[in-house]
Formats: sequence, structure tokens, C-alpha cells
Amino acid sequence: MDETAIKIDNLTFFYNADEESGEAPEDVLAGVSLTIEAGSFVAVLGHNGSGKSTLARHLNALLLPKGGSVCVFGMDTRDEELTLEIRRRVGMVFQNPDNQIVSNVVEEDVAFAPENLGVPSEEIRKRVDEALKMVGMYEFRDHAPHLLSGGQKQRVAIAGVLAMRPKCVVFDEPTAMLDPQGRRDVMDIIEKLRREYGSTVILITHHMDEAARADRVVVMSDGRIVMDGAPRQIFSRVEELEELGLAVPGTVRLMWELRKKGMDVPLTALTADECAERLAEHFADR
Amino acid sequence: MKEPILKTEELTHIYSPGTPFEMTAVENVSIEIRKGEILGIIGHTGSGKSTLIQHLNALVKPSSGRVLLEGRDINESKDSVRDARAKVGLVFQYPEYQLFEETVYKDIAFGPKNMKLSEDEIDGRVRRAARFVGVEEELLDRSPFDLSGGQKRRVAIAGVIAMMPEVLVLDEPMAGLDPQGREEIMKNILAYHDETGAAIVIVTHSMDEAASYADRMIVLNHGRVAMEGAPEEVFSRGEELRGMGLATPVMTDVADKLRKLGVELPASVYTVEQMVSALTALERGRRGA
Repeated sequence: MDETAIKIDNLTFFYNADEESGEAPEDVLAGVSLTIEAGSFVAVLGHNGSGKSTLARHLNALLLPKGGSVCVFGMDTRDEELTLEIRRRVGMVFQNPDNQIVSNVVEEDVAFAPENLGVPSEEIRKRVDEALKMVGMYEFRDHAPHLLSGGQKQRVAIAGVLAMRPKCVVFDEPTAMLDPQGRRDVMDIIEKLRREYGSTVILITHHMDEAARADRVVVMSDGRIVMDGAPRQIFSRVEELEELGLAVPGTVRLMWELRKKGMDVPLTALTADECAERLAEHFADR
Repeated sequence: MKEPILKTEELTHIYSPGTPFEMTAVENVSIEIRKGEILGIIGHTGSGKSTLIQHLNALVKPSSGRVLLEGRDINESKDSVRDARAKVGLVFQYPEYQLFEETVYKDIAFGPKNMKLSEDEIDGRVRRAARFVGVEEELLDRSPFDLSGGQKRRVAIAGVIAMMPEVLVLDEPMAGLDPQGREEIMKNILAYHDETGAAIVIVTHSMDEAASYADRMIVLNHGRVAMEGAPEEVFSRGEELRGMGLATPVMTDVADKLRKLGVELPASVYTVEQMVSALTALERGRRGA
């Protein structure tokens, strides 16, 4: 039987209103239910303010539900005694690598979290080396993090999370501040995590091409889940996505425009190669 | 060809010279920014983009070489520096982190106040700049910290626009925004361009974005100018771009692959719109045949 990694049941959340204004706080999450199987790769899309980062912060008990519940590998995040155990299972990678780096030496930075979790020092050494190799930063282990590029820093931050050996990693817009090479490196690490460790990956992103690589895409709007399905299925709903302030991958947009002009081409081509092949077939077919 | 308003001549910038940390960030860069154009500056992280643009209004001084604004060296005197700060507006990456005043109005007014303009002139500029970026009047009295990320970004851009620069330089203005937020910011910038005729310089690593608005592009690699030209010229060198850690626009990738598969396409296809018209033309030919 497939193990359930995350089970969210009717989750509601609001940030406490500032007392001066006296306004009632608005729900940032307004009844979210979502179950994620262990080992799956789920992308979460949504416009700014749709609640996706707030949702992410519930997955390792950085935020606690105001209503409903979040269970992580069977552990309820509201149970404070389980917080440490939950954070051991679910690692978080954030947007800005500068805010995630704490040490002056790369390998010390990666060792920071396992040290806090009380992992024995020999085991830490092993884990740090493995995590740094995993993200391709082993040869930088004695460098100073602040002298690295943004993409390299983000890889170090990811290594720091991997050194905790989490079963699930939540990436909250990990590539937003990176250049194309940095973005590719992060996406490659995600693939590797899945392939080699079978980790559960939850990726919050604005990049449709990144979401297209997931098994499942969840779309949020105004604190609710409004779409949930395979990338191919979700990206075929071009007009609905646009109404939500989202875009579709450029290749899907192209196919959609061509179909509007009466060309009989398939709608959902998720990569440049697939798109070109479908178009070539169309023009070869007489 | 439009005449240049701002030029760099053999500009070199070395950080921490004479120390073990010495690093040449920009080397021998000669570029020009022409009146009224939209110029895209592309390069991977660490390619020298940010260092280069900080020279454009004398925030950073060259180690060697010169920066000329309308033919005059901007670092020649206090007066020329002041002139450059007024005429060349710089919007940094994530500018919303630099908001600091109690109200949106005061934040936007900060630049023009420093220019020693009259109260009336300042007020007019603040309201005009707010309109350009789509910040409504009723937001002007709010604290900038109560706004959403996209709104904060627009307020920060308005603060620079309020100085009415003739050259508006923006470092990754769309980074971290959702697609709708990106589109809105771009519309705001283009509105300023269209109404004032100012030159716009956008620093980005998104090729797809550069493809959609730039008249001309400069590609930096390891602190040097690696390519310069119209977008179609730059995008036709896909292999080289990828070698520099850059991506090509996705439509360029589709076009390259289609050509390999024997579909004939014109050379300059790099946006969805261009691809649609190229392919519908092919389709008409096919049906006609």
C-alpha cells in the first residue's frame, strides 16, 4: 500500500490582524484538503497571495492550523511533542539562499541542522559529505558561502536540508532568484532526489515549465485549491489558468493559438521537443 | 540610428585591487544606450551586470575607463554626478526591500525632494509616477508595509520614475512575481517609455522576457560584452548562449528542432506571436497546394 506523506484536512489559517485597525483578519487558507502520497512530486501553482507559501509553512509545523488539521507521516502538527520529529521528516528550502545560510564555511553550514538534531558527529561527517556530493558542491566544502553565486548558495542550502535525511522536501520558489543555469541545477537535484532517495517533493513555483515536470499539479487561488491533476490535464485549461493570473508554458500557448486559427494540432505539448515533434507530424501528414 | 544618450568607454571595474580578493567584475566594456530605445542586458549571475549598471549613475566609479552622459564624463565633478543621478534612474533588484517611509506618498517623494524641487512640483511628480505604475490615490496615505509584494515593487519603481529620468535602468524588475504581476510591471515600464520617450535598460536573465520587449540586446559573460545586436541576431546563436549558462527563448528551441525535422521557418522566430504567424503561413501554403 502507498504510504501517505501529507494529509491536510479542511485547513484554515489567518495571520493575526493588527490591533489598531480593528479589521477582522482575512482567511489566507480557507478550507484546504489535500492528500499527498509518499514518493510523489507535486507542484503547487498560484498567483502571489494565493496562499501557497502559507500552505507550505504548515507542512513542517512552522505554522499551525487555526482550523482543520495537517498530518505529516501520520503525525499531527498541532502536537508540540512531535514538532522536532516532523521537522526531521520534512525539510524546507526557501526562495532566498542568503537567508538560509548561517556559517562561514560551506560544510559547517550543511552540518548545522543535523547538529541541532543531535546526530552523532561521525554520522554528521558522512551525511554532510553525501549531501554536498548530491548537490554537486563537495569541492566547495571549505569555501565561504557568501562568496558563492546565488545558484551555488541555493545548492548549499539544499544540502543543509538533505543532511537531515528528510523523507519529504518542500521547495518554496527555490529558483525565483536564480539564473537559468542555477534553475537547471536545482531542477536536476529534485529529479535526483526522487530517483535516488524516492523522496516526496513539493515544489511551490511560478515557473510553468518547472511545474510541467511534476507528477501532479495543484493550483491555488484565494486560499483554496481550484485545480488538481496531471500537468497535461491542468495545462489544457488555458483560459481558466489565465483568469487566475497564471500562464501556461509557452509551448502550450503556441498550440492553443494555432488551434484557435483552425489548425488541428494537439493542445498539450509540455516541452520544446514534444511541441516541435507534434508540429512536424502535422506538417508531414498530408 | 538613434543617437546615444549614455555611453561607457573601455570601462573596467576591479573589486578589492591589490588584495587576495582582487576580482575584475567588468573588463573593457564599451556600450551605448540610445535615446528612446529599450535595451536588454543579459548575463548569468556573476557576469558583471549589476556592477556595470551601478556605474551608469556614478554609484560606483570605474577603475579605468569613462561613463559619458550626453558626451560629458559623469565622474568629472560633483555637479556632473548630481546631473547623472537626476537623469539616470536606477531600480535595484527586489527594490521593495528598500522602502522605508511611513507612507507610500513619502516614499515616492523621497527622490524628487532630494532634487530640491518645489512642493507643487514634487506633488505633481508623485501623483504622476503613482499613475504610471498603477498605484491608486487612496494607497498614497497607507504604509508601504501594508501592501502586497507586487504593489510594493510598483511603489519602489514609482520612487525612481518620480525623478523623471531620461534613462531608466531596472535590475530584474520582474523577478519573484507571478505571471500577472510580471505583465503588469512590464506594462507600467512601457507606459513610462511611451509617454516620456525615456530610454529603458532592463537587466534580466529571462530570455523569454527580453525577447518580448527589447529593441536591442547586450549579452555579458565574465565581465565582457559577448554579444550585441537585435534579438533575432542574438537568439540565432543558441549554442553559444547555452554555453554561457543562459537559456534561449523556448520558441527558439521549438524553431531549431522544427528545422531539424524538416519544417522550413524564417530565421527570426523567437516569440509565440512570430511562431503563430510563421506556422499559419505554412498552413495556408499547405492547404493551397
